[in-house]
Amino acid sequence: MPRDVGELLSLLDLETIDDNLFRGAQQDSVLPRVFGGQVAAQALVAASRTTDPAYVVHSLHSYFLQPGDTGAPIVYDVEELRSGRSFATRRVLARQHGRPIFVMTTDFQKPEDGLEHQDAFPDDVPAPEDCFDPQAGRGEELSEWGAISMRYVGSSADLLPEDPQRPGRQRFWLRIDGELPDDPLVHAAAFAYASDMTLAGAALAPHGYRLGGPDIMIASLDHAVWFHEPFRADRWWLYDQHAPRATGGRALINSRAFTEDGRLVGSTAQEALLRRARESSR
Amino acid sequence: MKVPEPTPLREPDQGAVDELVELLDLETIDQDLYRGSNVYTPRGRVFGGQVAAQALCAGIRTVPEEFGVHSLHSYFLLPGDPSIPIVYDVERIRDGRSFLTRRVAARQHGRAIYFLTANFQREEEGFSHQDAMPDVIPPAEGLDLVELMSVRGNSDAEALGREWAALAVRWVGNSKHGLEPDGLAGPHHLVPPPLPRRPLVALRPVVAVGAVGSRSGDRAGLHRGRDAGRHGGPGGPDQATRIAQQACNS
Repeated sequence: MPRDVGELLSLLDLETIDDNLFRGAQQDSVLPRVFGGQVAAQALVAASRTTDPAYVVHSLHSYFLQPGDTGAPIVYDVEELRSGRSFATRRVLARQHGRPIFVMTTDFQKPEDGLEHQDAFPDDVPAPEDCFDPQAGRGEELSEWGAISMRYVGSSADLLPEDPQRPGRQRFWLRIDGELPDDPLVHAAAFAYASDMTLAGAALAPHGYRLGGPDIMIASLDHAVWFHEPFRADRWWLYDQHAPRATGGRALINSRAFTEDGRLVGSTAQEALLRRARESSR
Repeated sequence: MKVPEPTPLREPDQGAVDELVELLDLETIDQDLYRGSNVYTPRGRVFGGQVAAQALCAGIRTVPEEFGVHSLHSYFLLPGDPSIPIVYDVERIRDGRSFLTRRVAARQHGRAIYFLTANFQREEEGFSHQDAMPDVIPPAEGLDLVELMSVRGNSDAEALGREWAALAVRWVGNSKHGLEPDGLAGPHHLVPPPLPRRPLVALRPVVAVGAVGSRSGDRAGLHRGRDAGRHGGPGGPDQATRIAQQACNS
């Protein structure tokens, strides 16, 4: 896991093995398996390496297939599905030990103008400096997440205004902690990386469980990201998470990313596997 | 515009429903390889939902019954040709104990027109919660979409009603008419304020919407196929029109 921006950037800087074939490095981690956001971000970088820079990523859809091994690099195999005039589509298979661990399809668009609107930035969100830092006072366990700062705004179980219509909600402020280079792809990949964090908390809020507890097993089943417009991932963005439904061991979490000046710059959708520890066997 | 009164719900058109079921009943060509038929459409390309449904059926054919589909993700790549069948090629990405994953390529004329990845889960118990259902009018009080299009002067309304006879669509409202603000999808059709932002390098060169015919700046050898007509229609000023346009254009 990246302890600082430099380590995050080196994770995103893939080695080229051949045309459409890349290798992503690992870093020391206390995690038993590779963090999903890292695989998604590296796969996005691999796809971008095969795409004309005039095309900008606008969405990705992915499934997590197997736990990634933190002790071995990951190979990213890119297939060109479409190279059209307005859109380019790539599929990326992430492999370790000869087996696929992750599959992503991602779409790039030549920028164009069109209709524009957005949801309003939510009311009554305290500024990042007025929010709780969940990493403060915790030791080695969280130091390996040093490249990312987070501030807890609240969930439907505690600090958020009550909304009985929507029992599963959570908000965080997030940013990459340090200066990233200006390349928009780096910011998109960093957003993809961080966007896999904290989501299950929104789904657990109605059930009296918290992220990171010993009594709960969590895995990301899939991850989808829409990059509405480029933004700086190294400035605070509000991650507004909403879990409309949990059933059958699965929960859906729809989330929106707003910059501090109120722009809706990204959306994500993830289905998470939630098991009480005693039920856990995959 | 004169707004019509809601009409009584139609009797289901069993012939149309049978035709839909037939569309979903794929022919097996080989293991993990299927063929789906097409129906006549005056719209020039295959409706995206049909390709998605047939591709899903192809995936389902390759998984044991005790696994149920719980999600799919897909991209539309090229317009589908309604005059010939569509071939669905299934790849088994994962066969796990709790989860199975399938990827389906839809092909016509030797080219992929659509890709779908779907996940299947062995049934299990777990946490359960959900959002409350919004407070809405029942179907019988909603306007029939085809009639609404007709009132709005869409000359294709009748033909569309025949082609879509298997579906009943009742208009509940949109954020301009009929829906209450709910903080999520309410009347927040705001263009965001033009606040100064620190620009990123290579930020959004402007391309006119109408200029899709021009082709420039592409790296040599990148384009192997023709460009896609993009799935989905132009946005309209309100949702009924948008739904209708999507139905017409997809």
